[in-house]
Amino acid sequence: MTVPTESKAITQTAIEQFLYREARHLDDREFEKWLDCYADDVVFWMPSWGDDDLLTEDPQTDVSLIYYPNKGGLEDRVFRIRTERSSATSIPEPRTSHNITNVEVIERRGDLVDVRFNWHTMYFRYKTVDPYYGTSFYTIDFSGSSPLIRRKTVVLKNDYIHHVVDVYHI
Amino acid sequence: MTLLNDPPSGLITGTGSRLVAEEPERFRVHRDAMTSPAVLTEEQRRIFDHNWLYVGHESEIENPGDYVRRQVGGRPLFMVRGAKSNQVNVFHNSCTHRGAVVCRRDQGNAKVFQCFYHAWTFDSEGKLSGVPDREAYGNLDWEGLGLKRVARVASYRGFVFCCYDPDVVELETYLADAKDYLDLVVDAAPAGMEILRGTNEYGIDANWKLLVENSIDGYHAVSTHDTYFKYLVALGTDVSGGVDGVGRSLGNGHAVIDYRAPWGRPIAKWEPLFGDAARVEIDRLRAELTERFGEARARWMCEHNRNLLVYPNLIINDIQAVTVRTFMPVAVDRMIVTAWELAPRNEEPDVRQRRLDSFLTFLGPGGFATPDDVEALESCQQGFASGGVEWNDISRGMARPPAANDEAQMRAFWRRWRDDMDRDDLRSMP
Repeated sequence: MTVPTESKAITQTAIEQFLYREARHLDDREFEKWLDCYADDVVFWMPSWGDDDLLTEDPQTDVSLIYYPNKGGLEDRVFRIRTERSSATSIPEPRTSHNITNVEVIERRGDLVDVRFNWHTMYFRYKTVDPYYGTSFYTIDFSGSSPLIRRKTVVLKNDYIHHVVDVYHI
Repeated sequence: MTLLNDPPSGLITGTGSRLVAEEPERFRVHRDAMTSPAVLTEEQRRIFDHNWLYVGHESEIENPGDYVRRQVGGRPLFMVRGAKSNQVNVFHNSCTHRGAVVCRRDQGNAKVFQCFYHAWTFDSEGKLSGVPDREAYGNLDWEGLGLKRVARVASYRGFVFCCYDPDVVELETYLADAKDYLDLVVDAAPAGMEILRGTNEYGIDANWKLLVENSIDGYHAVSTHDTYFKYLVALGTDVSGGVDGVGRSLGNGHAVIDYRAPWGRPIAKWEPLFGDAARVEIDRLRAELTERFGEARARWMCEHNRNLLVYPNLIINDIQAVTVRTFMPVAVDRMIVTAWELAPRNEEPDVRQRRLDSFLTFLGPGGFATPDDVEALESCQQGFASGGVEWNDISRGMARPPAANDEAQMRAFWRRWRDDMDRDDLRSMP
């Protein structure tokens, strides 16, 4: 990607507003709008932790929790949720609340911005609250009319998972 | 001391026969088996203290000093490759001085294991090699104060098992016909199998035996995993053949379902999900296995899926990928599940990638299938609380040669469970 000679301003507020919007689509179960936040070539990866307490490093050789080399996998997930035939993800509908903090710009390359942030999702189902929390690393492309996620790496810090982890938990 | 003379445990004879009722065409399990804390206490002694239990895979500790820490049968242990012997040692993870755990990480390499409490130090063969201020003691039996080995340790084709009962039968005798199915997994990999990095750990609010049943249950696939099959159809897979095969008892409580299913297998059955480019490689793998093992065995290895139960709590499912899963109750209605992926060493990178994709799509807490299984098991446990209905029915297939979507393989487990729970000759193991 070429760096524009006069790059437009990409403010902290614009980045945060975009992250909030993506999370809101999950909380409101607007999964089609959520998919619109992603570029077709997005790499979506949630590594596993190894017994050595380190994250797995390569989704091509190690076991991950979720790994998709493009948007197709995310579309498959939304398809599955929308069938309402997965008792784990559809009925009763999970209620989630995403909370995002510590949004930090790591690097900017033209219209591409690398950010990291902490997230904490409360998940309520069957009168039980399960927390999911961690840190995510995004590369966001601000070149188009609305921002697109080109890379998303999710570090789930409480990886002793009760029952299920899906895209709407993280 | 026998269990019967062990008042604090309050163990009763005949628990198995009370809870498992078998008639010619009817097989029932009383729901107390899943809900009674007293039954769980008995299981700990009668089942987990006297059967061979899976510890880990030899590939996890290849070099001298490599170790992994595990909970096996509810007890903290660690498995380490001895620096002198190059053998697999399995030790009780407890300092012989005052009890603290001496191996405090889940995995690593160490020359010595030092207890952080008083700095007693043990080498990888378990020998007590360091005691601060040793002169403060008289003539202690330092040799006898080495790490305590688990009574029996043995390995079959890379799978390491241990048993707390020194008088247990040899591992190979115990495994009975389950050996053939372990052979099928291992033989498919000329350079051997290895556990891949990345452990799945998840909890289920259900009795542990429900996961035994679920792991070898062909009947639930079409209903519980409806979304997975829909997903396969959307990708162009022909699912009309369904799940077709047999359920078998393999002796000593081990059992398997052995079947054909619509999905692909990295060794070696192509499906549209793999992409056209993969076809050549899959065909090559198949041809290689045919050459080594003949047409019939190669077909068995490549086209059949095998969900194997090694009694009491090891599952090796050779399906879209090979998963190794073990689980332990922490309460009568809760278990912890640990799962790994097993794959051939030196696998072609694109085959490995397909294997990982298949594994992640179906298995694990982030997969398309496992969460629905978990949901089903938790739902059963919730349903038990309703009372009224006392017995589960496990009769399916008793009136015909058992198919993979019958329940013969579950009956094999429950018969052994019944016999174990009936035994009155079992000591509690230190």
